[in-house]
Amino acid sequence: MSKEQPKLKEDISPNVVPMIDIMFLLLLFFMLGADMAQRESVDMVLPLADQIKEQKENEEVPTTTVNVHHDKDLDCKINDTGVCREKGHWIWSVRGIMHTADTLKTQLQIDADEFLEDEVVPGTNPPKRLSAKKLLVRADGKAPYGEVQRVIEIGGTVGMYKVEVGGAKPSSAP
Amino acid sequence: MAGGGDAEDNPVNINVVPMVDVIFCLCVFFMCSFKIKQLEGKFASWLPKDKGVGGASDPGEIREMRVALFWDADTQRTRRQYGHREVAEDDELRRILDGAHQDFVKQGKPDTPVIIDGAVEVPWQDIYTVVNICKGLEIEKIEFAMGANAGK
Repeated sequence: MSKEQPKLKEDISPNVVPMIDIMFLLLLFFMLGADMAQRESVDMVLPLADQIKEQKENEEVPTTTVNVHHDKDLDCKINDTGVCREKGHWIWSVRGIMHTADTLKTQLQIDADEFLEDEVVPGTNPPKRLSAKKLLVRADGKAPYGEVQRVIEIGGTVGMYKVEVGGAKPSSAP
Repeated sequence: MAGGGDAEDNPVNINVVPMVDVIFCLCVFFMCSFKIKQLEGKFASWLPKDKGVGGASDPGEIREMRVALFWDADTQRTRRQYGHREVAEDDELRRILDGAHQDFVKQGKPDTPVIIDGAVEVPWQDIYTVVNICKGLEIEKIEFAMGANAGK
Protein backbone atom coordinates (compact mmCIF):
# COMPACT_ATOMS: atom_id res chain seq x y z
CA MET A 1 0.00 0.00 0.00
CA SER A 2 1.49 3.19 -1.02
CA LYS A 3 1.49 5.84 1.53
CA GLU A 4 0.08 9.06 0.15
CA GLN A 5 2.09 12.01 1.16
CA PRO A 6 0.06 14.92 2.43
CA LYS A 7 0.11 17.91 0.09
CA LEU A 8 2.13 20.71 1.46
CA LYS A 9 0.40 24.01 0.99
CA GLU A 10 3.17 26.50 0.78
CA ASP A 11 2.39 30.17 1.07
CA ILE A 12 4.76 31.89 -1.27
CA SER A 13 3.10 35.33 -1.40
CA PRO A 14 5.59 37.99 -0.40
CA ASN A 15 4.96 40.13 2.61
CA VAL A 16 4.21 43.56 1.19
CA VAL A 17 3.66 45.28 4.52
CA PRO A 18 7.24 46.71 4.88
CA MET A 19 7.08 47.92 1.31
CA ILE A 20 3.80 49.72 1.97
CA ASP A 21 5.35 51.28 5.08
CA ILE A 22 8.27 52.60 3.09
CA MET A 23 6.01 53.79 0.29
CA PHE A 24 3.91 55.71 2.80
CA LEU A 25 7.00 57.34 4.25
CA LEU A 26 8.28 58.27 0.79
CA LEU A 27 4.87 59.66 -0.14
CA LEU A 28 4.78 61.72 3.03
CA PHE A 29 8.30 63.05 2.36
CA PHE A 30 7.54 64.13 -1.19
CA MET A 31 4.14 65.56 -0.27
CA LEU A 32 5.63 67.73 2.46
CA GLY A 33 8.58 68.70 0.27
CA ALA A 34 6.43 69.69 -2.69
CA ASP A 35 6.00 73.41 -3.13
CA MET A 36 2.50 73.92 -4.39
CA ALA A 37 2.19 77.54 -3.33
CA GLN A 38 1.43 80.14 -5.92
CA ARG A 39 4.83 81.51 -6.74
CA GLU A 40 5.68 85.18 -6.92
CA SER A 41 8.99 84.26 -8.42
CA VAL A 42 9.74 82.90 -11.85
CA ASP A 43 12.37 80.23 -12.45
CA MET A 44 15.51 81.88 -13.74
CA VAL A 45 19.25 81.93 -13.26
CA LEU A 46 19.76 84.65 -10.68
CA PRO A 47 23.08 86.48 -10.41
CA LEU A 48 25.42 84.87 -7.93
CA ALA A 49 26.82 86.69 -4.91
CA ASP A 50 28.33 85.28 -1.75
CA GLN A 51 27.56 88.35 0.37
CA ILE A 52 23.77 88.34 -0.02
CA LYS A 53 21.45 88.31 2.93
CA GLU A 54 19.31 85.22 3.00
CA GLN A 55 15.67 85.85 2.21
CA LYS A 56 13.36 84.99 5.08
CA GLU A 57 10.22 83.11 4.10
CA ASN A 58 7.76 84.91 6.35
CA GLU A 59 9.00 88.45 6.29
CA GLU A 60 6.40 90.80 7.67
CA VAL A 61 7.36 93.74 5.47
CA PRO A 62 5.07 93.75 2.43
CA THR A 63 6.98 93.27 -0.79
CA THR A 64 6.13 93.40 -4.46
CA THR A 65 8.36 91.18 -6.57
CA VAL A 66 9.10 92.13 -10.15
CA ASN A 67 10.73 89.40 -12.22
CA VAL A 68 12.90 90.34 -15.17
CA HIS A 69 13.43 87.29 -17.32
CA HIS A 70 13.80 86.11 -20.87
CA ASP A 71 10.73 84.96 -22.78
CA LYS A 72 11.01 81.18 -22.63
CA ASP A 73 8.82 80.69 -25.69
CA LEU A 74 11.28 82.46 -27.94
CA ASP A 75 14.08 80.54 -29.57
CA CYS A 76 17.07 82.67 -28.83
CA LYS A 77 20.81 82.40 -28.40
CA ILE A 78 20.49 83.00 -24.67
CA ASN A 79 19.22 79.45 -24.48
CA ASP A 80 22.77 78.36 -25.22
CA THR A 81 25.56 80.43 -23.77
CA GLY A 82 25.10 83.76 -25.49
CA VAL A 83 23.71 87.03 -24.22
CA CYS A 84 20.43 88.21 -25.71
CA ARG A 85 20.08 91.93 -26.30
CA GLU A 86 16.95 91.78 -28.44
CA LYS A 87 14.30 94.25 -27.42
CA GLY A 88 11.05 92.52 -26.62
CA HIS A 89 12.72 89.29 -25.56
CA TRP A 90 12.91 90.41 -21.96
CA ILE A 91 9.78 90.30 -19.85
CA TRP A 92 8.72 92.04 -16.67
CA SER A 93 6.21 90.06 -14.64
CA VAL A 94 4.45 90.54 -11.33
CA ARG A 95 2.66 87.56 -9.79
CA GLY A 96 2.78 85.73 -13.12
CA ILE A 97 1.31 88.59 -15.15
CA MET A 98 3.44 90.17 -17.86
CA HIS A 99 3.72 93.94 -17.95
CA THR A 100 4.78 96.76 -20.21
CA ALA A 101 6.22 99.97 -18.78
CA ASP A 102 2.76 101.55 -18.52
CA THR A 103 0.96 98.58 -16.97
CA LEU A 104 3.87 97.97 -14.59
CA LYS A 105 3.67 101.55 -13.42
CA THR A 106 -0.09 101.18 -12.84
CA GLN A 107 0.39 97.91 -10.95
CA LEU A 108 3.20 99.29 -8.79
CA GLN A 109 1.19 102.43 -8.10
CA ILE A 110 -1.68 100.28 -6.78
CA ASP A 111 0.72 98.24 -4.66
CA ALA A 112 2.54 101.33 -3.38
CA ASP A 113 -0.65 103.13 -2.39
CA GLU A 114 -1.66 100.26 -0.09
CA PHE A 115 1.16 101.01 2.34
CA LEU A 116 1.85 104.73 2.32
CA GLU A 117 4.10 106.15 5.02
CA ASP A 118 2.69 108.80 7.37
CA GLU A 119 5.57 111.15 6.74
CA VAL A 120 5.14 113.67 3.91
CA VAL A 121 8.12 114.32 1.64
CA PRO A 122 9.30 117.86 2.46
CA GLY A 123 8.90 120.46 -0.23
CA THR A 124 6.28 118.62 -2.27
CA ASN A 125 3.11 120.31 -3.44
CA PRO A 126 0.65 118.57 -3.53
CA PRO A 127 2.04 116.70 -0.52
CA LYS A 128 3.59 113.41 -1.54
CA ARG A 129 3.98 110.35 0.67
CA LEU A 130 6.33 107.51 -0.09
CA SER A 131 5.41 103.84 0.14
CA ALA A 132 6.56 101.56 2.92
CA LYS A 133 6.23 98.61 0.58
CA LYS A 134 9.44 97.03 -0.64
CA LEU A 135 10.21 96.45 -4.28
CA LEU A 136 12.18 93.27 -4.91
CA VAL A 137 13.69 93.09 -8.39
CA ARG A 138 14.56 89.52 -9.36
CA ALA A 139 16.43 89.70 -12.62
CA ASP A 140 18.13 87.00 -14.63
CA GLY A 141 21.92 87.24 -14.46
CA LYS A 142 22.05 87.71 -18.24
CA ALA A 143 19.38 90.40 -18.36
CA PRO A 144 20.55 93.74 -19.74
CA TYR A 145 21.13 96.23 -16.94
CA GLY A 146 18.84 98.70 -18.73
CA GLU A 147 15.82 96.48 -18.00
CA VAL A 148 16.59 96.44 -14.29
CA GLN A 149 17.30 100.17 -14.30
CA ARG A 150 13.91 100.83 -15.85
CA VAL A 151 12.07 98.77 -13.24
CA ILE A 152 13.89 100.57 -10.41
CA GLU A 153 13.12 103.88 -12.06
CA ILE A 154 9.41 103.06 -12.37
CA GLY A 155 9.40 101.98 -8.71
CA GLY A 156 10.95 105.32 -7.78
CA THR A 157 8.35 107.31 -9.70
CA VAL A 158 5.47 105.65 -7.80
CA GLY A 159 7.18 106.21 -4.43
CA MET A 160 8.64 102.75 -3.83
CA TYR A 161 12.11 103.65 -2.63
CA LYS A 162 12.83 100.51 -0.59
CA VAL A 163 14.37 98.64 -3.49
CA GLU A 164 16.03 95.27 -3.11
CA VAL A 165 17.77 93.25 -5.78
CA GLY A 166 17.56 89.48 -5.66
CA GLY A 167 20.39 87.05 -6.16
CA ALA A 168 21.45 83.53 -5.33
CA LYS A 169 24.17 82.18 -3.12
CA PRO A 170 26.77 80.11 -4.95
CA SER A 171 26.58 76.51 -3.84
CA SER A 172 30.19 76.60 -2.62
CA ALA A 173 29.53 79.63 -0.36
CA PRO A 174 29.17 78.97 3.39
CA MET B 1 3.61 50.12 11.52
CA ALA B 2 1.13 48.88 8.97
CA GLY B 3 -0.41 45.55 10.04
CA GLY B 4 1.50 43.54 12.56
CA GLY B 5 -0.91 40.73 13.36
CA ASP B 6 -0.79 37.10 12.31
CA ALA B 7 -2.82 36.18 9.21
CA GLU B 8 -4.40 33.27 11.06
CA ASP B 9 -5.80 35.61 13.71
CA ASN B 10 -7.62 37.66 11.14
CA PRO B 11 -9.30 35.64 8.42
CA VAL B 12 -10.42 38.74 6.50
CA ASN B 13 -7.98 39.38 3.70
CA ILE B 14 -7.75 42.86 2.29
CA ASN B 15 -6.50 43.21 -1.21
CA VAL B 16 -3.83 45.89 -0.92
CA VAL B 17 -2.75 45.81 -4.55
CA PRO B 18 -4.95 48.76 -5.73
CA MET B 19 -3.78 50.79 -2.77
CA VAL B 20 -0.13 50.07 -3.58
CA ASP B 21 -0.81 51.08 -7.19
CA VAL B 22 -2.29 54.37 -6.11
CA ILE B 23 0.56 55.06 -3.69
CA PHE B 24 3.05 54.29 -6.45
CA CYS B 25 1.33 56.78 -8.74
CA LEU B 26 1.23 59.44 -6.03
CA CYS B 27 4.88 58.81 -5.24
CA VAL B 28 5.89 59.17 -8.88
CA PHE B 29 3.85 62.39 -9.17
CA PHE B 30 5.42 64.01 -6.12
CA MET B 31 8.89 62.77 -7.07
CA CYS B 32 8.55 64.40 -10.49
CA SER B 33 7.34 67.68 -9.02
CA PHE B 34 10.04 67.72 -6.35
CA LYS B 35 12.64 70.39 -6.80
CA ILE B 36 15.62 71.30 -4.68
CA LYS B 37 15.29 74.99 -4.02
CA GLN B 38 18.22 77.29 -4.64
CA LEU B 39 19.14 79.48 -1.72
CA GLU B 40 18.02 82.97 -2.63
CA GLY B 41 18.81 86.29 -1.03
CA LYS B 42 18.86 89.98 -1.74
CA PHE B 43 20.80 93.21 -1.41
CA ALA B 44 19.06 96.30 -0.16
CA SER B 45 19.63 99.24 -2.47
CA TRP B 46 17.15 101.82 -1.28
CA LEU B 47 16.65 104.89 -3.37
CA PRO B 48 17.37 108.26 -1.77
CA LYS B 49 14.20 109.76 -0.31
CA ASP B 50 15.11 113.37 -0.92
CA LYS B 51 16.19 113.35 -4.55
CA GLY B 52 15.01 111.98 -7.80
CA VAL B 53 17.00 110.61 -10.68
CA GLY B 54 18.78 113.91 -11.16
CA GLY B 55 22.45 114.52 -11.80
CA ALA B 56 25.38 114.62 -9.44
CA SER B 57 25.20 117.30 -6.76
CA ASP B 58 28.68 118.73 -6.55
CA PRO B 59 30.81 118.69 -9.69
CA GLY B 60 33.84 120.22 -7.91
CA GLU B 61 35.18 117.94 -5.18
CA ILE B 62 35.35 114.22 -5.86
CA ARG B 63 33.14 112.58 -3.26
CA GLU B 64 32.37 109.31 -4.92
CA MET B 65 33.90 106.08 -6.08
CA ARG B 66 32.61 105.54 -9.58
CA VAL B 67 32.82 102.19 -11.31
CA ALA B 68 31.89 102.41 -14.98
CA LEU B 69 30.86 99.34 -16.94
CA PHE B 70 30.76 99.24 -20.74
CA TRP B 71 29.52 96.53 -23.05
CA ASP B 72 31.82 95.48 -25.85
CA ALA B 73 29.55 94.08 -28.53
CA ASP B 74 32.44 92.67 -30.57
CA THR B 75 33.88 90.51 -27.84
CA GLN B 76 30.54 90.14 -26.00
CA ARG B 77 32.28 91.09 -22.78
CA THR B 78 31.96 93.79 -20.16
CA ARG B 79 34.76 96.30 -19.66
CA ARG B 80 35.12 97.81 -16.20
CA GLN B 81 36.77 101.10 -15.35
CA TYR B 82 37.58 102.87 -12.13
CA GLY B 83 38.39 106.43 -13.13
CA HIS B 84 40.47 106.00 -16.29
CA ARG B 85 41.91 102.72 -15.17
CA GLU B 86 40.61 99.53 -16.72
CA VAL B 87 39.99 96.84 -14.13
CA ALA B 88 39.47 93.35 -15.43
CA GLU B 89 39.95 91.22 -12.34
CA ASP B 90 37.59 91.17 -9.37
CA ASP B 91 40.47 91.07 -6.89
CA GLU B 92 42.03 94.16 -8.43
CA LEU B 93 38.73 96.05 -8.22
CA ARG B 94 38.34 94.90 -4.62
CA ARG B 95 41.81 96.26 -3.77
CA ILE B 96 41.15 99.60 -5.49
CA LEU B 97 37.75 100.10 -3.86
CA ASP B 98 39.09 99.07 -0.46
CA GLY B 99 41.95 101.57 -0.74
CA ALA B 100 39.65 104.37 -1.88
CA HIS B 101 37.11 103.59 0.85
CA GLN B 102 39.81 103.56 3.54
CA ASP B 103 41.03 106.96 2.27
CA PHE B 104 37.54 108.43 2.58
CA VAL B 105 37.17 106.90 6.06
CA LYS B 106 40.45 108.60 7.10
CA GLN B 107 39.09 111.89 5.75
CA GLY B 108 36.01 111.44 7.93
CA LYS B 109 33.71 110.68 5.00
CA PRO B 110 32.81 107.02 5.47
CA ASP B 111 29.47 107.54 3.73
CA THR B 112 31.08 108.30 0.39
CA PRO B 113 29.12 106.18 -2.07
CA VAL B 114 30.21 103.78 -4.74
CA ILE B 115 28.38 104.77 -7.89
CA ILE B 116 27.83 102.00 -10.37
CA ASP B 117 27.54 103.55 -13.78
CA GLY B 118 26.64 100.78 -16.18
CA ALA B 119 25.67 100.84 -19.83
CA VAL B 120 22.19 99.47 -20.50
CA GLU B 121 23.55 96.45 -22.39
CA VAL B 122 25.78 95.22 -19.56
CA PRO B 123 24.60 91.88 -18.13
CA TRP B 124 23.00 92.22 -14.71
CA GLN B 125 25.42 89.62 -13.30
CA ASP B 126 28.37 91.98 -13.89
CA ILE B 127 26.62 94.83 -12.07
CA TYR B 128 25.73 92.44 -9.29
CA THR B 129 29.35 91.34 -8.96
CA VAL B 130 30.38 94.95 -8.26
CA VAL B 131 27.59 95.26 -5.67
CA ASN B 132 28.81 92.01 -4.12
CA ILE B 133 32.39 93.30 -3.90
CA CYS B 134 31.17 96.52 -2.23
CA LYS B 135 29.10 94.57 0.29
CA GLY B 136 32.11 92.38 1.00
CA LEU B 137 34.12 95.52 1.80
CA GLU B 138 31.27 96.72 4.02
CA ILE B 139 30.62 99.75 1.86
CA GLU B 140 26.98 100.36 2.63
CA LYS B 141 26.24 103.24 0.31
CA ILE B 142 25.93 101.94 -3.21
CA GLU B 143 24.16 103.96 -5.86
CA PHE B 144 23.12 103.15 -9.39
CA ALA B 145 23.74 105.96 -11.85
CA MET B 146 20.79 106.66 -14.11
CA GLY B 147 21.29 108.76 -17.19
CA ALA B 148 18.60 110.70 -18.98
CA ASN B 149 18.08 107.73 -21.26
CA ALA B 150 18.37 105.06 -18.62
CA GLY B 151 16.68 101.87 -19.65
CA LYS B 152 15.27 103.26 -22.87
